[in-house]
Amino acid sequence: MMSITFHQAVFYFFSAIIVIFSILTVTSKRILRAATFLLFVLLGTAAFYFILNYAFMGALQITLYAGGIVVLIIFSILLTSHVGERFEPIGWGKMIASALVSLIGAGFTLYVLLNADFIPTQAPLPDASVKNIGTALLSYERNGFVLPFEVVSLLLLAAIVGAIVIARKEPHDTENPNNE
Amino acid sequence: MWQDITLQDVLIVSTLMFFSGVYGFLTRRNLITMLMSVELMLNAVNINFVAFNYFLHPENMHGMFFALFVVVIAAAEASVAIAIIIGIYRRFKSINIEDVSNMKY
Amino acid sequence: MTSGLLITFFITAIVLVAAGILAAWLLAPSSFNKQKSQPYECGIPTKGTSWMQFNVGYYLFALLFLIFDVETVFLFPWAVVMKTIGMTAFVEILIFFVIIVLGLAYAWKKQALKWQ
Repeated sequence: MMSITFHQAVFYFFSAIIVIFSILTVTSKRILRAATFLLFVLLGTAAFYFILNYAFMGALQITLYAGGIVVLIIFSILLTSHVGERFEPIGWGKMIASALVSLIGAGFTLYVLLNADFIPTQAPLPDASVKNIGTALLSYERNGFVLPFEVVSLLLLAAIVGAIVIARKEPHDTENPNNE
Repeated sequence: MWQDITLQDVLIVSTLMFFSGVYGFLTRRNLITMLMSVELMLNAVNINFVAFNYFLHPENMHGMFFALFVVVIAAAEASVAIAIIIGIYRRFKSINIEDVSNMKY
Repeated sequence: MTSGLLITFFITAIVLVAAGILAAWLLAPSSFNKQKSQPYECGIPTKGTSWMQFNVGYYLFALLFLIFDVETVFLFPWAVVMKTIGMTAFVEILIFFVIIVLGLAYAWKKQALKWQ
């Protein structure tokens, strides 16, 4: 085996971060620690996108996942958990069965993909500059993405309305019941 | 650049990430940690989209756009899911799924 | 060439931080008393634990932040190509904008923005 290049060293470093912290996320006994480990996994994923030259995708991962969704998750933990709460240990049988299911699934997937014969492309590397992304995002011709772009705004509107209706309902009703 | 990393390397990492998410989803009994496991799985799938796009079909960046919209939809999904979790907490004073089985029957 | 530069960059970063920590550890006089290990907040003793139940208002603000975060992310590539595409891009972003601002208007109407 030849020596590892610098690129590979960076890649293996972030792979180790992702794998270790994914496992810690699902095994940690304290919920706030699990959320912090999830944040590390998401940052590692962003590093993967940067390694693959998709800089905009990496920035989006950091702003939306690490900066938005994890903040939301941490707020919801603080809203719903008690002081120093820890999970009660799960039964051994259940744990072993779940671990077996995941290990068999992972083993099968790894077996398939290590034996698969991917044909490496001869095409030039993608030019994922923000200019290209913006052109494709706003184009309504072939390979344009303007329809999902507009539909996403509707989805976000639905998310705002739904979340406000669900999360806000009761205090409003109890405070002044004849306001509606 | 980065010719010394192969598609398989990336896919191995995303597979391990996906199945740790599966393990968490099966073992956790707390709604928020189950949501976090789902986020792990979504992330692994996103890595797959981007890696296949980069290594196999780099022409039109379709995979990257798919991953982009998946991230945005994950944001909407997480906000609604957490609103539902907060609603459940108000109603049942607990977010353990063993306590929230009223709707089962 | 580039990777050599990068390696130098990382080594310099690590050495600088390590030198700072090491120097502080070697030079600083070390003492301990009970007051020092307490959490410090504007000089007033803290009340209760840091694990308290949060108001649901925090969640609503975080939700609105997340949605408009998404909008900002989409505005960024739009802003880069707006000049080359022209009126079409403007109309497209206008539709996008109006639909999302409807959500903000709804939140305003339902008084989700009012702190209580």
